[in-house]
Amino acid sequence: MNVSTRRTVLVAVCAAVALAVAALVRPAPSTLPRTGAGDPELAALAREVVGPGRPALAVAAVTADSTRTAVLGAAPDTRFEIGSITKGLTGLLFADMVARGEVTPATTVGALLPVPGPLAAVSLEQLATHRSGLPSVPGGAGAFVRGWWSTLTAGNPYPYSTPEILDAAAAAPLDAPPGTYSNLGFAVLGAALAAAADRPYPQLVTERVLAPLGMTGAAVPTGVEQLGPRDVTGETPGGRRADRWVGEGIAPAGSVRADVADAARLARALLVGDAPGIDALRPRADFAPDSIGWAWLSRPDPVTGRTVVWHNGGTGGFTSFLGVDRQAGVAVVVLSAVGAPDETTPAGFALLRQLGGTP
Amino acid sequence: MIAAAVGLVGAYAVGVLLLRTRSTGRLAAADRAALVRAAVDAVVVLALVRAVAPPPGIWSWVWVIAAGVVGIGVARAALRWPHLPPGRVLPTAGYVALGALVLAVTA
Repeated sequence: MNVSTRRTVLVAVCAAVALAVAALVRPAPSTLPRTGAGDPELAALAREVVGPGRPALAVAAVTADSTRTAVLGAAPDTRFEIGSITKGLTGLLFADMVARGEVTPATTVGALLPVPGPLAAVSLEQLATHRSGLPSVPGGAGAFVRGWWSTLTAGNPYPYSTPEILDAAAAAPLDAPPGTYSNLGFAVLGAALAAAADRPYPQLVTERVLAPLGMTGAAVPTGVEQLGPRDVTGETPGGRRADRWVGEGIAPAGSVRADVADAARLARALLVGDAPGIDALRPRADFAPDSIGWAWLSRPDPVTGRTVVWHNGGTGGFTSFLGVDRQAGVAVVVLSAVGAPDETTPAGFALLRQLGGTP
Repeated sequence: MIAAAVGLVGAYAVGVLLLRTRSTGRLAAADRAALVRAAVDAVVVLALVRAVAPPPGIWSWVWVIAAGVVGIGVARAALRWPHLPPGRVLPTAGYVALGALVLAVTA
């Protein structure tokens, strides 16, 4: 072998090794298997509509009389992070506590929690409709650095305790325009409701919302030690294993985990109107392009013209969607084990159209 | 916009590695340290792209191809290695360690 050939071989080998390693760590999530558990027709439809680029996917198609589920890439009872659909549960809890007379929409944060400054004058309804003036997430240099570090490491950006969340909210300027989607606001709302009921948020939402709905497998983990083998690990859009998003402080805004059967129970209760705190769905304010109740969004579907009540969620390793089309009598749940970009929301609306029929 | 900027930075880092490993030209590495730094830059940039702004869908294969080009650059660097003076060893070792730290964090 002459020198020129040896050089060519060396370059080719190095390129081949680099390509092989790069293909193994290609910045893309895992691919769904073709088959899964549950309804095979729904599984095929979901795989087609949501897309195969995710390690696990669970969907539910719900009517008043039937519930069909399908799970690909995971066991049927696998729990997914439902992310901000948790806000919907907090909204239901709020409405239920209003109905019980424990709080009112006008009750202020300061009446329930020892917070200083203008945050004390913010009402629970302002928090529940994203009209408190609070920013989306805790501010300050520490939170900024934590956010970037989380991006680099696929970590949990919200490992706050409740006192830390309340301190961050009290320090925040209340100058965000009305309709500014606020994780911080819902964290404060949950803390305020917990204070009014004199028990921790996870216990409160479990007793008042999850248990009455029959969501007995759902959990509100505040630490990774509370997770088990049923709790799947999601992936980032780049295919890295994402840290689990758990934390006491942020729990009311996005920490609930549920399997598809439990999420379907929630969807059915919203569809037939027998969920605790169902009044939370009633629109109360503008939230362009939607209107908003207490957490729950409503919009006319541009294709069918029918009103859809919905919420979605996104964490480092998960995206989720729950939508209810009462006029068509259909609800849909989509739980996906890959983080943003959010493909589940448009897919959820598309599934609602397909399952509800287009006029 | 961000994706385009990230793509340009990646292309720049990989391109600089190829230019550094040439045997002639203004940008050709003058010592081994320059070769090592260029290789570390290219690998770290690819790792950061994967972590912070992963190219979506089919574009992820462009990232794989870029990694293959880095492999070519490393091979060319190995071929130039015997013909170059060492350069500053300690700072370069620190540079490599820093690059390894970034890889570990973003893995």
